[in-house]
Amino acid sequence: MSHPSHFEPLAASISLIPRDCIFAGLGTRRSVHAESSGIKVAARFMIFALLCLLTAGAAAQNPPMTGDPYRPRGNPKSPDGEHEWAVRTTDPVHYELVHVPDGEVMLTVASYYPQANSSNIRYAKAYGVFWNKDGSVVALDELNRRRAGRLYFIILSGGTVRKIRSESILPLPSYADEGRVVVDPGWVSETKIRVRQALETKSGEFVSKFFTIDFAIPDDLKVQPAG
Amino acid sequence: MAQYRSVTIRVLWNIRILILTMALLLIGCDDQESDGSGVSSGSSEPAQVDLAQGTQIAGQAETGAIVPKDGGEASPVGSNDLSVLGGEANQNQQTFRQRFGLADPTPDQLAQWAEYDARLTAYSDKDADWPYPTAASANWMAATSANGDPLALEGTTVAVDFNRIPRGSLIYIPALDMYAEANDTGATASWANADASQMDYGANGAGRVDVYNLAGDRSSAQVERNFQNRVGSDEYGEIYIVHRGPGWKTGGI
Repeated sequence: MSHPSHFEPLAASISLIPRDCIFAGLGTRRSVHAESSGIKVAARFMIFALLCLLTAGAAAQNPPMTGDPYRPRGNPKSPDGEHEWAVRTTDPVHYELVHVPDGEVMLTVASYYPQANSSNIRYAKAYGVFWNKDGSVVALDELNRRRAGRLYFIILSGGTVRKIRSESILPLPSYADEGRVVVDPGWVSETKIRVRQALETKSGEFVSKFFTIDFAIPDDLKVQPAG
Repeated sequence: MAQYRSVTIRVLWNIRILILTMALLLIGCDDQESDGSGVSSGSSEPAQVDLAQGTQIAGQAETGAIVPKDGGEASPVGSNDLSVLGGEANQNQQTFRQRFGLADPTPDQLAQWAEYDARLTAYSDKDADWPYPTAASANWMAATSANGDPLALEGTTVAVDFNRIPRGSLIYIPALDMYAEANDTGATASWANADASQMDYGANGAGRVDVYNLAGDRSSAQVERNFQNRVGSDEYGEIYIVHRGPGWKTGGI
């Protein structure tokens, strides 16, 4: 079982903490100096790790709440380098999933705004790609500009690909006027991804609901509310 | 023991620093109202520099810094008050009319223009899913936000479904007595889906016309309520496309 991707800095930092420090306070005899320096190191690592967590979370937000809102998110290339996403800006604007070794286009996905003009091209390029650890599932998350754009999940298995639209997993509630699902912040395990359903209610309020979607059994996806 | 206390104090100090850092990172994020279901929402205020720029642009409008295209034909703002749209909506509308020689339409003009069914809705700079006061394409003033994006202007900017109304078109909204530039767009697939059985997405429908508001101190829900009160039963009404596409900005009206 892997650690959640955005928790990896925390896991790594904990593994770097001297063993003595981890057991500090459990009754092991050692000098006060060693214990105090150990606690200091641990505290520093924890602060660093938490800052990494915050940074990773902010980077995955859709739309980005800081910096250039049109910057791409995630990584278009699969972990093993076998597959890569590309934006094609000829009319109609679309995304392609390419099998890198032979250049074969395995899947084409239309951009939300397909007409090729400068606004739509910039919009399309501001996409996010989030691969799970073994590269068997990838989330293609278009820019969330006032709930425009779509989130797709693509399952890769035995040389075939299957595309699932997020709305088919998390339909729009009846009280919402507009809504869409975005990745937020990403994969929390090898098979589970955390998402946010961004809604505008019929009374003009904005509501976010968080869920995890488990792709362990691709034909039987499990959706759970997430805190 | 004294050293233990010292260490404890240092750890507590580090935690304080962490909390402070987190607070700093969260500055600028302002939770919007929720439906009371306990779910959270994410949003952000527009950048101060964008707000300042918006105020500056509105100020230019007020002082008539923009030269009217044909001053002799300039008309006063229509009888309807656009202050519900917030900010400098009335001034922007007036300057817009002066700049392009737009007057309150005559019955003859209305008869010539293409009339469509539409649904009037509101959006604002308080949108949790796009906390940037920008439009999708260049506005009539060529005003941009701090990062160079086209700026939405209260009183003249509307977001439309570009599949129904061409980008940059000039439209007239009778319910608001407002000329507007269709230079922004939104979740058009959601609109088409949600309004599939409504007149705005019928055979003579122009889709939704989402009117930009500068929220100011108002919440997004207040903006929505104010707007709904303003348009009332005209939410599902008519609009006129005065000119299709952006050609009117270069003398195409």
